[in-house]
Amino acid sequence: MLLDRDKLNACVQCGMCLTSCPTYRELGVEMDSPRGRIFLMKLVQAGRLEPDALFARHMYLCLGCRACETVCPTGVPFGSLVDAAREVIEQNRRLPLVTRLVRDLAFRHLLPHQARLRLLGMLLRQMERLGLLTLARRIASGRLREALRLLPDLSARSFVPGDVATTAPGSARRGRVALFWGCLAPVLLPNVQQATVTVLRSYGYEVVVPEGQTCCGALHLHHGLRDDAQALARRNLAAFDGAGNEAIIVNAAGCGAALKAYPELLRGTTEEGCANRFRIRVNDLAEFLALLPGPPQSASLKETVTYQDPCHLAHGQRVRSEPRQLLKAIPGLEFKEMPEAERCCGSAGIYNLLHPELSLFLRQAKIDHAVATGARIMVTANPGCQLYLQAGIREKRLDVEVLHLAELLVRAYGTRPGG
Amino acid sequence: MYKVIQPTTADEIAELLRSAQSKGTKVAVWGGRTWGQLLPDEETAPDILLDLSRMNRIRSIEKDNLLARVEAGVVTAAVRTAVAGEGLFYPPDPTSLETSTIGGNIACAAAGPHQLKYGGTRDFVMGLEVVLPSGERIRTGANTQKSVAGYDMTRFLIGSGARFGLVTSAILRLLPKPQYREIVLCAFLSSSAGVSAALAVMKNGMTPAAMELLDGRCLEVDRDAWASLGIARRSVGVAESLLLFELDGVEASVVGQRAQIERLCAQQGGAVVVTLSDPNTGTQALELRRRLLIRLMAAHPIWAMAKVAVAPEQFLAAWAPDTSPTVPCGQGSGCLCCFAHAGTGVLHLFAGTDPARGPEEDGALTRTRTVLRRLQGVGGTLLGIYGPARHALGEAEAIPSRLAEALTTIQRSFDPKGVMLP
Amino acid sequence: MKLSPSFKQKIRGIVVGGKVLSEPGELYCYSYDATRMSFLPDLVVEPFSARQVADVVRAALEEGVPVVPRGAATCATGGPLPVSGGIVLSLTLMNRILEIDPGSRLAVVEPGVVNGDLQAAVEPYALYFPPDPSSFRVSTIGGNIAECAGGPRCLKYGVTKDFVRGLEVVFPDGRIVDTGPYGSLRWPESALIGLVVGSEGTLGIVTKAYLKLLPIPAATRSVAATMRTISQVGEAVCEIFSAGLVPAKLEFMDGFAMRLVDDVYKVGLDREAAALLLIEVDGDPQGVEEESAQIEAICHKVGVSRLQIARSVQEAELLWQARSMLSPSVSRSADIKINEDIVVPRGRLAEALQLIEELGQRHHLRVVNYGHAGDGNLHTSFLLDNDPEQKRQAEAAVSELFRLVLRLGGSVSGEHGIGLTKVKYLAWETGEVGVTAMRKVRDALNPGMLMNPYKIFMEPGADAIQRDQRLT
Repeated sequence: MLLDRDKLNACVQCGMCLTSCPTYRELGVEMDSPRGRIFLMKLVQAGRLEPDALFARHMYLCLGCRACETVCPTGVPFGSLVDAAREVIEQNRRLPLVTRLVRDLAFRHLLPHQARLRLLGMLLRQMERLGLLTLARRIASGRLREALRLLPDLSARSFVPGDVATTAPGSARRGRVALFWGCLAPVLLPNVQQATVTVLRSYGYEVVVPEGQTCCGALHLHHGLRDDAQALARRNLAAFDGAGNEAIIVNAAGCGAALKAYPELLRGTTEEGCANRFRIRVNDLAEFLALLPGPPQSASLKETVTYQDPCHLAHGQRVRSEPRQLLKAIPGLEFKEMPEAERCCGSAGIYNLLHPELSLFLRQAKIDHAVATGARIMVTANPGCQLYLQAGIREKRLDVEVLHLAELLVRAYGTRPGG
Repeated sequence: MYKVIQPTTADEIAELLRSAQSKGTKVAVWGGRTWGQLLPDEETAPDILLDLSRMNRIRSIEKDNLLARVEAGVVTAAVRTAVAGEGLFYPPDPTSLETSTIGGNIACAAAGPHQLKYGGTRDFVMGLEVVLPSGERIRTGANTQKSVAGYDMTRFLIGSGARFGLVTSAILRLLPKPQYREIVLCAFLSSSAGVSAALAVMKNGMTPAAMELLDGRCLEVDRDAWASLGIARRSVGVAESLLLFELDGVEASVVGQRAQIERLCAQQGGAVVVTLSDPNTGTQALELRRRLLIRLMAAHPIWAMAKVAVAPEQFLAAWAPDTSPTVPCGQGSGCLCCFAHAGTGVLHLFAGTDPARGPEEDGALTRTRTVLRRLQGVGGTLLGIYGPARHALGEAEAIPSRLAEALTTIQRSFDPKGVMLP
Repeated sequence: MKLSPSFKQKIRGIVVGGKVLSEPGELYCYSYDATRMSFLPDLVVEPFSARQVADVVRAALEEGVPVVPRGAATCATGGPLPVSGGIVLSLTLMNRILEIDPGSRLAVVEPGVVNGDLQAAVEPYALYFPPDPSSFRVSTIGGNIAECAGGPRCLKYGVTKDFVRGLEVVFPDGRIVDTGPYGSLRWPESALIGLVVGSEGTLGIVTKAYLKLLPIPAATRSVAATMRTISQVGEAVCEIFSAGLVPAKLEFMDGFAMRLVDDVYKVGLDREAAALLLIEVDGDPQGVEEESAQIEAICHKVGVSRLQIARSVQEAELLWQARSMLSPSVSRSADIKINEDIVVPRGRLAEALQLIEELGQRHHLRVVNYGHAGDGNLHTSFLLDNDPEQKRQAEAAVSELFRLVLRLGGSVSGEHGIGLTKVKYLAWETGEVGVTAMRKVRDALNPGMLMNPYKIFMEPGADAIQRDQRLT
């Protein structure tokens, strides 16, 4: 059975998860709490309830933020349980044709193919240049419009591996790292990729971007397409199984969590051992940098900065103090902790397209908290969060910049892109 | 005419009530003959009056468990003295504590100035031994402060008089005796200054063990005694007020609290602060406060008093210019005195009337009625009216009918023959 | 029980602006609490106002349908379980803080307000609500009132019933009584409040609470004392009180608990210790300084093996984290954890701990003790493997535990209430006469037992109903 009974039985229904769950807080019903969702899973697992439309509704209303895992006293792995539940749902239902086509187009024919994504990026840039995107945003409605609104400034071209040069001069070579660059990030947020490389090089690391890597598969796993996720995982394992044992750096919290979960994804398959070896090498950028003596030479930034924890970094990977440590170490930087920094910003993969009201509510709360700190820069560590928050800031025309941690570090370290 | 019986054991009472049930005898209970309790009259007409004053043993004081087991007829002051001897402290301090009994305190949920920091009788009784109207004996509550085993019958019975049964003994919760205690008196040139100072103390996050507010006329009935403590009225006719603070804790804490109070009172301008760290003078001050009502009653044979609960910020409504006359007490138009448990918001309006005038013409009663209306207008609740002239102040607020019904039903199930008189 | 469509329609008509849930998946989600039991309700109703609560209760009474009030359902004794079906009435939608009056140190709240949210709301006024049960981040004020919740802070400040100044209550017949904020100062409102707090939803449903707040203490200081023998715990507690001190918190965990925490979290606890005592004093800065010094001296006098003092909020958090790590550590160390909440007079604490250890040995079960040493309120947990023999032993052990507690003059429930799980032990403590007296009260207010049936009191047919209706 896809739903693991032992994992489910770890839940003793104590209820400590309720108020850390954003959907329970806003929707106020037990079915939209982690405890309720698990109980429904238990019933489906025991054959007492059908994985019907109600089941699907509440499973997909989950943000996947895993804030519940942080407070759960018995260590219930809620994230993986809800993924398994969605797998059960997809196996038991057939989405309407159009929905299925759009999903398959995006998940199977676009995200796993860098070249196609780059093409799409080029297309969008042209449309932006010609003012067509602005037009499209105005005439489109519903989900399409929300998606278009998310698009950031597309002036810079996509980041390509060829952009990577050698180690920055003047800093002693410490070693080599491999970069996992994700799928959409190189296209939509090329600056972040560039900044990541720049920062790593400024710490003395040569950065390689192995070929053949592909989308991490998180989105697929979170939408019940486990087989697709496994296939993508295998491709990534092969791509990174190259020369050395160097650390694999990820700058996207969602991807990082997914990569670290490859051993579980491939449990019981022949690649399990490979996945274990792979997992040990995976580091979020902040995790990796925090272990190094730094910051380098002439770091300085006179700004008030706050930090928004991406769910999959704080709850999914338990990386909280490292980004803060890096920020606080910068001379001149005033760090302000925002209230509810760990609470989901509402982006949650494509959740913000599927359930816009709740996402918008969460995003607004997050932006209000950030603004209340007086910070001029909000730092995050996940492209999904970054895009969504940027869109929100743009809409309200606020004087707050949303930067990826890498982008802020580059600014602070004073290193120019390209070394 | 009724028969007075003075039982010495709970078994006697049980036997008595058992036979009362079968014969339909009416039973009333008499405690410490405190000022609030009137002798039964023709209206209530009991057949038997139970006087529990002979059940006055302190059965045990368990220092390790911080509790005392006492019979209902023990005088409250005796309990306080006995436990103090063991280094312990029984906080409830109804002003009648010299004469009232624990049983009486329980029957009317008595509380005093310590309500502010500690609470009243209701907060320091952990369990009871009760004889039900049927003659059955039950124990309520527990030997421990924390217990949620079924309904809190203890808190249900406290304040209920003898309606549902007779309390024969109680398990009292004790605290360790604070290491240090001080009384601080602050006298102000006006009533509003006193009220403001009290509000400032609360706003500063302080919780003194007691904070009592008395207006100038209250001080007059014991003028010499107050003067001997350092509080002299400046001149007759000027409205003044006094705040009496009781501070306790470790010495460093009390000293700190005192300093804060001095600072806050000084901000009210013209305040005189007297610190009584000597236990004797401190006790004298508390004594003066306690006997205030008795003295007022003695000075005004026909009196009425309203006890009102209102937000402390609204206290000034009781001392507005039109209710504070320049004419001193006793000179023809009666006297309105106010005193309050300042932090908890319980205000007493004492109207001492001029016997020569009727209730409608009497100035004090008229002013009291005005003040009452004003207080009720700002959310105050009348907790009770007392005294021979109480009817002139109006009616006590009615009990919500659903609640009255519920109580009657419960009463009937405990006492089908209606043997117990409240 | 089958509810007629017209009845359901009627209920939907009443609860406009609220929620009515009737799908099987939805009903399942309101069938449980924090015990391992669940019973299916026939309808879940989330009203929006006191008026709606009253109307639902009245309509249900007319139909003979049971109504079971529910908050966040973190109850450990089965309080919100709909044993005989009927309506689960969830108060979570009524979660507004109606008023905060700092001058009167008063908060007026609806029952669905989460305890932790109230704390956050009154903090800007430098006020707080002292009752801090371990569930405070999730449990509702209504639930706290129904169970008369406690928590570590209640040693110095009191439990929920000491902080209820007034209540608005919907009686089982649907009538509403509002005592206002001075209810506790007046009879008979005070008697009603005294009954309703801790009545576990069997005498009425609270739709508004007038709560007393206290000023946040200006300073706090925490001390952690590691002890080599259990008797030292009793001595320390005794000496602290004898000195005239009342700490804000006086918590302890036994040696086994310490080892479990250290196993899971590796925080460097003394593995040879018999107990860890965690003490917090609060008040004005000078007083706190003095009290903490006195407590340190007492600990040294009693002979502790290690003393740690926290002088800042961060240091205190570190000190107290052993306590917060306890529950997860215990959960991860056993397949099944059976947690009992008992009280003994504080002078008999050491004795109780000794006897409980012996009890555990007799039944070949692992036992962990921790809790509120200052008021003798222990949480005794039996740790079991998923083994039928151990489960049998545990059942017997629990009964013996209660007998032991009562012999020491204690109570079978310190904070968690009787609910469903301790029904058979109530008479052990109060005697049949005591139970009868309580029943009279219940029958006067809740005739026909339609409001939260089968709780607190043993009823004929209860075992059968539980057997038939229980889902898990």
